Amino acid sequence: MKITRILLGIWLSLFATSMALGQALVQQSPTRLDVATGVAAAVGAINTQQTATITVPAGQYAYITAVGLSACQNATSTAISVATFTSTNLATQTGGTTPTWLLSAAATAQLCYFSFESYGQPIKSASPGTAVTIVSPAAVAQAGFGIRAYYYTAP
Amino acid sequence: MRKLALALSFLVGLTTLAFAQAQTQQSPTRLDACTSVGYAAATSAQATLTITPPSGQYVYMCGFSFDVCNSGTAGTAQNNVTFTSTNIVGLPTWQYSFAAAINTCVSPIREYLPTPLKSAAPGTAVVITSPATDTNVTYTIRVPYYFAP
Repeated sequence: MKITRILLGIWLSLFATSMALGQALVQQSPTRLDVATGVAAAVGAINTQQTATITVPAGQYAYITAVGLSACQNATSTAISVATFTSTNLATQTGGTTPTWLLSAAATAQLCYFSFESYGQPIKSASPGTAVTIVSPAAVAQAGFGIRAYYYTAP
Repeated sequence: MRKLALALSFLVGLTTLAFAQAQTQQSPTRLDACTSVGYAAATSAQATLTITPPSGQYVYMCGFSFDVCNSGTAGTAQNNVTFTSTNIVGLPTWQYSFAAAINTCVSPIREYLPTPLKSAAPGTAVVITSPATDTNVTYTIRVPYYFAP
């Protein structure tokens, strides 16, 4: 008799758990914690170098979900030859230089270069509490540069 | 002993049934899908897209798309002009130049995000605005989004 009661208790407990799990699938989702919460943006006038900076709180890392880059010529243009957008505080597999993005553009009026990379898994910065920067090529007389780094910060 | 075995068998059977049901029932609605697309278009005028969330909720933006095209009559060339934003941390802008020649478009600007971008303040609209009016130029702005806490 005692065993029967114990078994009944276990069964009721498992049944209630199954019901609760079923309900959890359709209840309202809590706030997502892995969304991008900011954009480090630097888009400027011609003949200026741009720097996008992700400021990271102490003890946290920057998680970069996407990077958009642009370079556009003005009505008067200047050729851009194998220039690079550079970065800081992003680790590489070999521990060497941090990643760069290449760019060449002809001296054609109003010509634009666009690049957009989205990361299925975010890129985590190398050192906690340290800013991540993405820097455009040096100033070009008749071209403007744009940088957008989508990110969130977390431990 | 037989009763005990029977009870255990009954218990396992019920548990299996419960799990089997969970696996075959209809999948619940994804709550992180983009449920709407904010859209604004304007010809020979400035385009402004406003996405207003309910009180206490944020706008979760799944991406940004911009088109800039000229009609059969030439427009005025644009040099390093920008689409601007409000209520996004960092206030991103999107830059381009455009010769505005007859029947041409700027290379499409498409930024589709792997995880959404959350707006800065809850209950506050996100506004994306095109560059200034350019006669004969049409702007379109598309921002897929959903609202959530």
